Formats: sequence, structure tokens, C-alpha cells
Amino acid sequence: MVQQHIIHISPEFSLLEGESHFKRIRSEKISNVLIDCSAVSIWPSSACAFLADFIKRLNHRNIKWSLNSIPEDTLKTINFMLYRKPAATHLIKKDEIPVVDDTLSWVVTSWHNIVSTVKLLEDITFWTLLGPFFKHGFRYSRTLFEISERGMRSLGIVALVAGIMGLILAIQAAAQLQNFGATIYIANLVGMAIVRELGPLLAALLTAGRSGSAITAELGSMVASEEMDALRAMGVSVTKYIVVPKFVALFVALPCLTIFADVIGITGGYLFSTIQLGIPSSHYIDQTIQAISANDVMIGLIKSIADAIIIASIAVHQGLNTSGGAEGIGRSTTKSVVHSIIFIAIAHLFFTILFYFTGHTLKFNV
Amino acid sequence: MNKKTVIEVKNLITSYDDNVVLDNISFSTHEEEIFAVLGGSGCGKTTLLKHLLGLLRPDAGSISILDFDITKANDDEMQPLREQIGMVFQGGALFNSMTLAENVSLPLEEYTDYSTRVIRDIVDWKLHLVGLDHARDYLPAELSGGMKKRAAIARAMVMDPKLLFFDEHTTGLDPIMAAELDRIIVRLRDELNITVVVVTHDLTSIRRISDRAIMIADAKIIASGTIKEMEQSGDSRVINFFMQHDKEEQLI
Repeated sequence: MVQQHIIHISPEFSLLEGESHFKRIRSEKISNVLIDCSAVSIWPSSACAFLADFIKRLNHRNIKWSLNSIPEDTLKTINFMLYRKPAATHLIKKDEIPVVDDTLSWVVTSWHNIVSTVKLLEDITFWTLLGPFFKHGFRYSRTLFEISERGMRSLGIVALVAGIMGLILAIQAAAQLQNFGATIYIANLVGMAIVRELGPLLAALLTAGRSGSAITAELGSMVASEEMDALRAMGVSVTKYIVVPKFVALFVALPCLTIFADVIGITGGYLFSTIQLGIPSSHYIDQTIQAISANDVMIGLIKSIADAIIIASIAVHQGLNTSGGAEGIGRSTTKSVVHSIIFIAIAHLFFTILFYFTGHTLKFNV
Repeated sequence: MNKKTVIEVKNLITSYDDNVVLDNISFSTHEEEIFAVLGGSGCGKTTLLKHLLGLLRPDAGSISILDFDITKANDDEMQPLREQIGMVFQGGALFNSMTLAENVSLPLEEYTDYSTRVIRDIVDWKLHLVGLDHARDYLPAELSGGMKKRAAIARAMVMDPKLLFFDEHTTGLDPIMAAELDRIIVRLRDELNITVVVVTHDLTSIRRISDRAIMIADAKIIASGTIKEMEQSGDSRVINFFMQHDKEEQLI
């Protein structure tokens, strides 16, 4: 008859203790174990789980075991941990659906996102252009409120960042141009860079961070609190009632913020050049006016309109497709800002390449 | 006297991804009836409700509401029906940026040509019906849970619907407020002759107000009829549901 080896479980039984017992069992090639639990008086769930884990390892090695001095309730718990079936679900599996791999699933999800965003834009265009001709088709007061919220309230941060950017540009340019005695050309460099690229880009990035995230979070929390379902149940178009005022607000506010960022950015360069470098004020202003054409301003504005469409459609799409409560709102808001920044960068690259190659022919008659 | 059928659901099947959540559901409700959909948490009650509201499309089966098949209708075709349906969501789903009066008046502003004064009268009447006369200018954030639910009822009632849906109307309320809300529902049904569909797991409330009910478990209807008939059902899941609830009530 095989001799039964006795293992005494200590009152503070842990995974480590189980491990040391198990090592001994293996090294001594023990094939039959009596687990003595008489020293343990309190059985928290963790101790049950540790013991169950120890027994599972014995089972795995085909080592016979038996338990001694264990309370009945604890035995029930350990039995549950050892022999429970996978959690039953009330959901019934449909016929087998082929499992698509991750890449294909990503492609399908992305395609679905593109299609739903295009549909959303179609709906927004309809209500923006034709809404004013319907009764209650356009919420004027709400749109004005949104313009104030997205535009007016962003003026401070846009002024701060654009001003700093203008100063930085001027300082960097001065360091280079002073070597050639061409400091007056700081006006050209600052003016062109701000008006054609940095002004629209700054305004767009700040709007994506400030307004895009706010729109996504607002819509996401409305989805979570069933406000969107309430609107749909009442037969009120979510696009018309909630989305269009925000979309129109960004469409109006962002070009205005871009112009504002241009002016403040150029002012930053002007202040540094006149105060620090001693360039006469009138020279700097004349030089700036000569350097910047209406065409440059228009290019900046076109970029800002594209940015507004990008930010609004991504923010709204992410907001309306929020799921998973508070965590889901956080996820959607992050996605909204990150996707907006990526698409803004791509759009600016696209326009810069477009205007570079068509630069000699593309002129706006302003 | 035979009462007219208001909702008729036939062989409804719906699924999320590859899981069937409602499997071959069929039932009907009659006018001026308080009809309950019972079931444990996550059994598909709210999904069924969203189908009845036309917010979700089933995989198969048909849903007819007020003699109109909503399973094949698009949003435009649904519009006249939606004006005859009121819905009270679990958390109230009031718009946080609007006052109570603005929330309640929203459907009137959208669908009618009524003057501001008429709208104000209707809104004040509906708020009076649910005992919120004094709170018309409050924002939802300034209200208690029970007040929010009552405000949501006022909003759902504002278009004088023929059919009123409630999703877990007693959730988050103390027993006294839950009983008060039940009284309001019965009174609205009696005074306005509407049909009420209540989706809940609260058996106490259902015993107080419902005329008939169905119970959903494992994606299927496992019992139907009056509460008494359901209590006599032989299905162990139904008996378990009732016993569990009674035990909890004794503990309270």
C-alpha cells in the first residue's frame, strides 16, 4: 500500500506555502497526500482559492489527495472553485459565424465609421442648408450660444498661444537674419508663416482640444443618460436639434479664430522686432503688408474651413457613438482629439502640397 | 367587451453580434391596459422596449403598434406614430441644459403651431398632474430622483399620447416615492384612457398596477397572464423569481 504523506496547512496559508509544499512533493516523488487543515480556524475566500489552486496542481500531476478537518462550508467553496462549470449565460449562440481576424475586423470597423460619418455629414448638410426653410428646422438662439461658446470663449487661449508663437518665430528668425543684416525680413517670415500655416493650424489644434473634446463629452454623456434615445423616441432629429448648432458654430467660429490668431501672431513678431531689434514700427507694418497678399489669407481660411469640418464631424461622430458609460465617454473624447489632430495634420499637408504645385496658377480674386 | 389591440408583437427575434437576446417573442396588449414586461437584470427587457419604440430593428418578426407595422417603416413613416407615443426613460433622460418647463414643452414646440401662452398652459397642466407646479423653472440637476421621474412623465404626456412606455420607473426611488409614482401611472391611465407598458423587475410595483404581464428569461417568454396566473405557473424560474422577491421584501 502506498504511504500517505501528511501536509499541515498553516493558519496563514498562502500561494507561497502551497508552492513550497508542492516542490517538496515533487522532489520526494510523493504520490498520495493528506492535507491537514486542523490548524486553520478562519477561511477567507483567498485561503480557499489558494488551497483550490494547490489541489489543482496536485490533480495536474495525478497525485492523490484527501482533506482533513475542513469545515463543510469551506469544503463547498473549494469544491465550487475546483469543479465549477464555465458561467452559464442566458444568451443563446446563433449559428456559427466565421471569425474574422483582427485586421479584417479593423478594416470593416473603419469602413463602417467612414460610411456613418459620410451619412452624418449628409444629414448635417441637409439640415444646415434646408433647415431654415422648415418650421423649427433651425435653432438660431442655440446656434448663437454655441458660436459664443466655441468662438468667443476661445479668444483668450488663442491669443495667448498665437502671441507666444509670433514671438518665438521672430526671435528664431532674428538669430539667423541678423547675420545677414536682413532683420527687416522678419516681418515677411513671421507674416507668411502665421497667415498661411501657423495661424490656421494653431486655431484648429486649440479648437480640437477645447471645443472638439467638449462636444464629444457632451454628446457622449447625453447618449449615456438616454437623452438621445428620448429625442428619437419623440421623433425629433438628433442631427437637427443637437448636432447642427454645434457644427455651424465651429464652421463660423474657426475661420474667425484663425484671423484672430493671424493678427495676434503678427503682433507678437511686431512687438519683438520693434522693441528689441529697434525696427521702426512703420517699416515693419509696410513690410508685413507687402509680404502678405489676400491670396495668402484666403489659403489660410480655406484650411480653417476644412479644419472646422474635420473637428466637428469627428467630435460629433465620436460623441454619438459613445458606449460604456463614464469610461466610454473618456475613450471617445480622447479618440476625438487624437483623430482630429491626425486628420488636421493630413489636411494641412494636402493643402500645402496642392498650393505648392498650383501656387503660380491658383489665385483668388479678392 | 373585446378591447382593441394596441401592440401586437409576433415572433420577434433579435441579436447583438452572435448572441440572440430575444428569441421568438410574441404578445399583445389591449387599450387602457397596464401591461408589464418582467424579468431579471440583463434579460432583454430594455432591448424589447427599444424595439417597441422603433429605436432598434429586429432580425425577424413583426411589431404592430396602433395598427401600424413599425418593423418596416422608416423614420418619416414613423413620425405620426411617435407623436402618439410617450416614453419615460429609466433616469428620466431630461435635457440638462433646459429647465423643466422647456423640457416638457419640447415636443409641443417641435410639432405644433401653438402660441407660447397655449404651450405654457399645457405645460403647467402636465406639471400639475405630476405635482411639479412649483418646479417649472428648475434645472434637472436641481431635482431629486423622484421629481426627475415625474418631470419625465409630464414630458411623455405632453402630446396626449395613446400609449405610454415606462422603463424601470421605480429604480432608484424609495418605497414611498415608488408607490406614489405607481399611483400617478394608474391615475393617468384611468383619467386619460391610455395604454401603459411598464418594463421592470420590481414585482411590488407590478402587483400594484399591472393588469397583465409577461416574464422574459433566457431570451424567451416563460410566463404570461395576470400576476396571479403567473404565480401559479409551473416554471421553476418564475417561481424562483417570485420567491426571491418575496424574501427580499420580508427582509426590508
